[in-house]
Amino acid sequence: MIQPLRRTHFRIWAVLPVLLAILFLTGIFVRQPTLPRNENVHWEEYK
Amino acid sequence: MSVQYQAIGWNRQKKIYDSVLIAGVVSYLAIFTGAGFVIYPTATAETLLIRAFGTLALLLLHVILSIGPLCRLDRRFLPLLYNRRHLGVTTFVVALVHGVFSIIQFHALGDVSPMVSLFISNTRYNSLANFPFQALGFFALLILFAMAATSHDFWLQSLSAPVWKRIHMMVYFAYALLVAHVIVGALQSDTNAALAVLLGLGLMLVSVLHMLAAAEERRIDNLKVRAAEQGFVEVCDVEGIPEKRAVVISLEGERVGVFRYDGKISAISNVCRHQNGPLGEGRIIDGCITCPWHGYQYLPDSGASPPPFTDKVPTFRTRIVGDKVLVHPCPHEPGTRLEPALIESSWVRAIQ
Repeated sequence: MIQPLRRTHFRIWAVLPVLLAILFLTGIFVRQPTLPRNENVHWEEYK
Repeated sequence: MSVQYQAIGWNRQKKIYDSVLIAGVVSYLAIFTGAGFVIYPTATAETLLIRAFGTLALLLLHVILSIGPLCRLDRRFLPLLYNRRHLGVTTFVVALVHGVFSIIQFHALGDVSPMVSLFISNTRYNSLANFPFQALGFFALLILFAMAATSHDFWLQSLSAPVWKRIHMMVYFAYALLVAHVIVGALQSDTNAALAVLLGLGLMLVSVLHMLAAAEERRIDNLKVRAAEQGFVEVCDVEGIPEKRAVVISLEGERVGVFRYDGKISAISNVCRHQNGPLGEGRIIDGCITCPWHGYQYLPDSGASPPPFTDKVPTFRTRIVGDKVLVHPCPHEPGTRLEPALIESSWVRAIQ
């Protein structure tokens, strides 16, 4: 690989893991339960 | 590298590669949907297929992104690299099936065009948990399409290697879009921890491999060469270069492969004209330096491909003083023949 491409490659991988890790952790943090809170209600039965 | 035009130069290695790939794809889809029916009996076939194709595309993209750094770190992974483009085209097809099924399932039954519905049915761009994730997947699919469509050597030669390489480096942007697509999409609607754990592990694996490979590249770039006589720089001892192989050095930011063969030393640019492959990591086969990536060949003394091929790379003047190999950092025009340094006669002179 030629030097400019190697440099671009290096810069991309210096930034990308940090950005994606932040997005991943934020995504996990904002995740909400999709099932109704009432445990006696099983919505599948009404499908 | 063929006189007679062939759309794809099929060989045994390619056939094995593609057979394993197709078998893997079919097995994954069968196992995923089969297990899905058992674990989630109420799930519809469409949902399972959408998920099977979606997860497979993401898995294949992780494999593709891991192959490059793995090959930088360990040569034994090189066979995976030779036909990586087949893997890329397969990933696009699998992702396309996922996309088409999803659009049919979620957008085809309304009163607006499915493609319009894709962009207007959810406009909550200010919410991470409810972000319109499908648009992210759509743009990633467009990038994968551009890469699959230009994957043939015809486009590589038409666009030139640096332009082609830059287009194909967009895969990193596609990867970021797809990871975001999963994080704000499936990860929000599916509370099963398995997807989150696997995505996190995949992200970590790809990131760590790329960072390790970058550190290795940096190490090679930072290797110090000592100035020697008449503008030459000292590379290593003659014995430091294995027969029919090379030592790679960085001269003024660009890499040079210094080859030893048949009692001679020659130096050429480390960058293959085909796809910028590392020539210095290849070896000399049938008298030609052979690129480890796709087998492009160059004569060591001239940097020119043997006839009828016309590819050429820059060459560098070499010299041997005592048992030290010297290289002049000034490149000569691609294809310029330079007299190789002779190992035995140099040693004899040194002894005398």
